[in-house]
Amino acid sequence: MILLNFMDKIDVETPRRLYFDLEKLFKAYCLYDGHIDHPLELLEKQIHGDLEAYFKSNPSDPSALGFHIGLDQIFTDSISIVMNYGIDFPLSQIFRNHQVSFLSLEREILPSQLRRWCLKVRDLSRVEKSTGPSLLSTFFWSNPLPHIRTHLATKIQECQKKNQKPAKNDLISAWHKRNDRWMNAGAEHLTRGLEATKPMSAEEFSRLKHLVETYRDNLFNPNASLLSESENTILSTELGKMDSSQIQESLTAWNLSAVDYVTRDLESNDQSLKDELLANALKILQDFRPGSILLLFRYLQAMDLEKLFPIKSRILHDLKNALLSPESMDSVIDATSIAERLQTAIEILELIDPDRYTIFIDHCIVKNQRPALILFLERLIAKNLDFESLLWSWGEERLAKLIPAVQRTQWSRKEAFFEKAILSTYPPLVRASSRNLLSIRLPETLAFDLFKKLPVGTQELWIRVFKESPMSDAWRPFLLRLAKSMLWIGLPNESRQKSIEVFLRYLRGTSLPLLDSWISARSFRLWPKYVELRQLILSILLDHESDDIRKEIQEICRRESRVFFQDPELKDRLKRRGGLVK
Amino acid sequence: MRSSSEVYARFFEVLCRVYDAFEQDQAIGLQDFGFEFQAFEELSEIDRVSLFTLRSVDRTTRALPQIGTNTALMLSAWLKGLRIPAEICREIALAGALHPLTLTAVRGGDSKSAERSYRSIKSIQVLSKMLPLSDLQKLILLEWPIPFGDNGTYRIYDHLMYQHFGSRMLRIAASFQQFLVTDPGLSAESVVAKVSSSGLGCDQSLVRILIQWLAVHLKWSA
Repeated sequence: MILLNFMDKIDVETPRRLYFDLEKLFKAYCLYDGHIDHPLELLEKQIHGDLEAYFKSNPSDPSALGFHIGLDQIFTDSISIVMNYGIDFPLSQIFRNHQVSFLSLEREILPSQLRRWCLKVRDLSRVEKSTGPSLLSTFFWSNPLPHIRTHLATKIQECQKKNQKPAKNDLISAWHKRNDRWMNAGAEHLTRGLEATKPMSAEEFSRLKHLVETYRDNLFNPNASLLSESENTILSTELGKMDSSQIQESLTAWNLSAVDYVTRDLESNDQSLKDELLANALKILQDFRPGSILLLFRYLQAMDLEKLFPIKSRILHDLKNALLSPESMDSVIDATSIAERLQTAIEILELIDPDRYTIFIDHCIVKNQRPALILFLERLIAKNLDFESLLWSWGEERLAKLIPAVQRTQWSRKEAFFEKAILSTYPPLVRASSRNLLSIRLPETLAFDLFKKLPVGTQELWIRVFKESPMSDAWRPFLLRLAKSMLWIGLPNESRQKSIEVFLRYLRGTSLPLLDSWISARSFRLWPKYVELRQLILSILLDHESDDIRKEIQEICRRESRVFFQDPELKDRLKRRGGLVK
Repeated sequence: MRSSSEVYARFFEVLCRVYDAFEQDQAIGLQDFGFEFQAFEELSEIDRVSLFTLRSVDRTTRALPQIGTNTALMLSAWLKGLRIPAEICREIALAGALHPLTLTAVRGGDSKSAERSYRSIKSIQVLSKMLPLSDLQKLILLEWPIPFGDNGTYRIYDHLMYQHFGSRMLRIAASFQQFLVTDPGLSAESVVAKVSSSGLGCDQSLVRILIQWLAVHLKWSA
């Protein structure tokens, strides 16, 4: 954060910002020094984030770095100045006199000493307001946060390779961020630099020796780093983050190995080992680290079933009980709303009894988390369970809300399921299934009987689906029967209009005589029987542009234009369409 | 206020008692152990470094407790230098003090065998009865004898595990101290050279960091 401010453009505000940043550093240092330990992780994360963001957006040349200030001394490439000016001496004057462009705190600094520096820089801030920008361009600290220094050094190297994309470090992404991502990648994908495994040669050792002899001068020169960029990153991240789940997981693997050995080779029954294994497993459960729980589950799957069945079933029992506690369920379910954690959370959910899946499903329905729901259903389908029975076991009310998610799965039998669902006696389920109407194959009679029984709202939905979805020839017989019936006449006006459009679209010429029967029907002599309906049909026919029935429509228009009681405006349009006027 | 030499002597004495108790499978009062280690922690980093380098040349009749004491001292100073939180420093350093006790369990046999993990766990169970060990300490005591393999991983129970950095640091410190204690004629610089070149199964990146850290405190060219 300090570097961020000082490598930014220098203005009169810079010292003031430095003061605030020093205050932050002071607090960070106090936290780091053991006064408070927990919030630091967040703070460091923020610092790293700031620095990374800065280096990404400002690939400026950091080669000017070359000056650092100790607590009581200033070092440059050529001079070393003892800080004997006293606390009242204006710091800005010192910086100016010595062309300070780079500032660093030395190691072993105490909070109280850091505080003094805060105050000094605050003084500088006051002076600068009246005298203009400082020469101070960078403020950089080595220790007390060495992993930030190494991180920084790495970033500086990255900046120097401006056009090179920084290599993604598998170790960092696969292991150290595992908890953040609720992933447990194991150690399969780790990569370390060659320097981690290759013993040093005598020449290299001499080179390092030379480097460390000139330690102070080279400390902040990235080129003099003893480690490669990636190794620096790996180790600084590693040392900066205490991963307790790694400890539990590794211990569990050791215990399993020992228990397996005892059971396999000695045929003995070492209860203490089993107790230890149980205790470790329970700790994993108590800490509730989903990644570790998954790993434990995989360990258990790998165990020899016959000999270790009692201990395996005991752990599995405890594991499921722990997962089923309301807090655990809440924790897992909450995680499904975070994209990176979704996969692990869903895998965890699969470990619990199917009877309890409904807790998660209800949550997703309420929160409208459809992607999570779809992923969950897909995984259940992949397990070759009797998925259809499972769906029905969740109840029709829930199923009605699940239908959209089921529709989006790759389940091969979903059409058959919708066929069954649409025949349900539970109206919301029928309505929900109706959205997938065109993928369903229902015999014409069955479909027509069903349509008759549907509430008006669902009937309207059917018409809308026919109107808005791609055509399906399988439904033509049903629509013909519907067009011949009075059922669609009873629908609200908007749906009637859509029905007419659907008939024209599906039935083409076949629909015209049927529609014409509504147009030409008379109450007595010349008076139209269905005034509104005939006008509606005619206006739709007038707008209909299909070539294959153009002639028939023209004929109807010509005939209707001669009707005495026709609406004048409609009459004019009919005449034009009928070709009677141009 | 005790001098650093007195602090060292007192911790060494207490550790000898722990080692005796381990051999005789007895319980031991823990107050001394923790208290004496606290005295170590109160020493400055440079005092700790000079202690373990100077004291290494004093040959005692009890090599293992001496290696344990020096390792604990070295680890506590090194970890502090790396600004690892104090609690973790203590845990790792105390594991370093006890690490020679697990040597018998790991000697012989295939390093990857289930039998070896069984023996190691049993020896740690014995230790746990004497001293309450944290999970981190248990893991470090289990992992430190394993050489740094491909990418720092090792296989156990058919799963690839990543060695904790505490285990890797302990392996380096233990190797360093074994050379120093068993051959008092060697200088710290020569020992580091040995650790870095002889393929002892140490994480060479951490060895480089050790060199960098030691360079602050030791006069290499002397």
